[in-house]
Amino acid sequence: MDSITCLTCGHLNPPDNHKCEICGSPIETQDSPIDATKSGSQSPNPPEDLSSPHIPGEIHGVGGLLGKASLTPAQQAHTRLLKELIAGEGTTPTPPGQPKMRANNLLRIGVGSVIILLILISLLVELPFFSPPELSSETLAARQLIYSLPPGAPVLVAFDYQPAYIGEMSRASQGILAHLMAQQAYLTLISTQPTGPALAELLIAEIGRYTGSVYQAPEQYQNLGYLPGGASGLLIFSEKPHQMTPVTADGEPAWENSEVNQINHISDFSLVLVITDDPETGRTWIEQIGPKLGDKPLVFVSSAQAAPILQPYYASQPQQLQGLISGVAGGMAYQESALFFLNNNQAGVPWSTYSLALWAGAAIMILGVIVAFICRMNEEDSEPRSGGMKP
Amino acid sequence: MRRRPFSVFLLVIAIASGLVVLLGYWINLPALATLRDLFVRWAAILAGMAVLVGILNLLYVHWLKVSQPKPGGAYSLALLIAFVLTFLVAIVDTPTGSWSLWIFRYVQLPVEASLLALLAITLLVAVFRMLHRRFDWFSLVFIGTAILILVGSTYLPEVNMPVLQSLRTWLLQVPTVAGARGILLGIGIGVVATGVRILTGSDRPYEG
Repeated sequence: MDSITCLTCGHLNPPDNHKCEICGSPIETQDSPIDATKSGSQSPNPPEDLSSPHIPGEIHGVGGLLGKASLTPAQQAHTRLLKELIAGEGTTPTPPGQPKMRANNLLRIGVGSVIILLILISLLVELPFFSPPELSSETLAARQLIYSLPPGAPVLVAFDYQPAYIGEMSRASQGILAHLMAQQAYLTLISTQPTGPALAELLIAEIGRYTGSVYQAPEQYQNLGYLPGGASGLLIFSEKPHQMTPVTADGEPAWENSEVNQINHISDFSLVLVITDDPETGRTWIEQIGPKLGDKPLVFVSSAQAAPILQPYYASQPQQLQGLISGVAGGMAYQESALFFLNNNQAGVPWSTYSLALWAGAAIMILGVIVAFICRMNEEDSEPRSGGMKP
Repeated sequence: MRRRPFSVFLLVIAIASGLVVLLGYWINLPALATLRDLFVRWAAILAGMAVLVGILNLLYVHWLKVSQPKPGGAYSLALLIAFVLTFLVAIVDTPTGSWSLWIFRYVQLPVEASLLALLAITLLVAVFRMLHRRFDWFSLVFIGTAILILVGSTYLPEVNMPVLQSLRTWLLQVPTVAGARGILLGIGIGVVATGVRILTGSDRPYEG
């Protein structure tokens, strides 16, 4: 008789064992549906009931999905785990006791109220507590690159972030976009996300209102709209931009303005600026576009969450990113250093409000630690334990 | 196991396409480069079409829910009406026209931003309750790091916090960047391994 494989750890056990020698998990018996396939043998009958009438488009359990496929014990174990997870999703959890529900809801309402109240107060009352953020080396590098652009320089700007992140991303990118407009760069807007073209139009119009110099299409910028195809689309665009995007988002012919009609390759742009909230999207741009740029700079505006993943590209030698502005702090530092354009009251939530919300979040966490510590002390007083804190 | 002829056909197509595109970057042959560009362009067109297919599938699923009255069917009806209205506005006014942007600015942006704002509150509540469920050193280090990053991101003019700022900078520059580099290397190796598996026919995602 063959040895039996433990479905938990994969160890081969003698046939008469009821528990695994290694992990101690119970081993399936001969009657078990899984047992029929042990030692690599093929399952004659899938474990699910396949007698129910088949409805097109429905998958009849794991058996229906896999048919008579031969599964290894590890695959059987994964299948079983997946089935349990799916079954758990379909069942309604037993409602917890009313007092606990009330406490959780009160906690949610309390935390939300504290944060909202503090934000409202700080918006109404000028808070002079917080200094503007400091300028990092990567933000400084981005600023120097923009300063070096001549008037009319063609710049490609990618708006690759989700509308949900507009609060952070618009705050992070307003400064550099306003700076580009002040340098009179010709902007070519593009996005690999369907919502990107609308975000681009809104932000360009908004900055125009704040700065007083409204950019006009197609004289000062063109919006190429949505670029499909992910990495493949980017690759083709980098080599043949005219072919990939012959018309603008409005359906008008693109590339007709004198600043861009000579652009036949991505390296013909003076600078490429990517605004993204997602490290994966940022990575795709760096990998597909970066090597084709030659000596032309690639600058990123990223969300605070994406910045740690993008930072190594800036820190590497040779640099794959020539400038990086990360999060609200980076955007604020850029604006403060460039000494222009947008003041706090015009361009969204002031820095002091943002800082106060961060402090409030930290205070709530500290309060949570204190409350948990007191609760634990009370528990230990009521029922003494042998061990201390778990490692 | 015997393979069906169609599976073999798919396998040959996939391997040949992958090899042509890969060799197109390594070998400087105009014909190969043209073929490579053609394949990559097809891939981009197919990916664009996938978005349309996804939209059609979404509409079909919600149409089924509306046509066979079920609980929650009203939401599906709302989705279909919203889709038709937005589609017509975008067709008539262009996707970046003033009406389209009005819908985007006053409907989509507030809804998505509000959901993300709720996430911030939910995460704070989760951290508050975390230590009640699991009171150990790892939880304390986790919360301590989060507090340090949050507080270290702000600048108080009257309070000089060089140690705090230095610690935050060190955390972001050393362990975080080290972890990020590890992730990037892992992704790179994973992509190469997946490519090799598809090129050798070990992995056949196109078979469904």
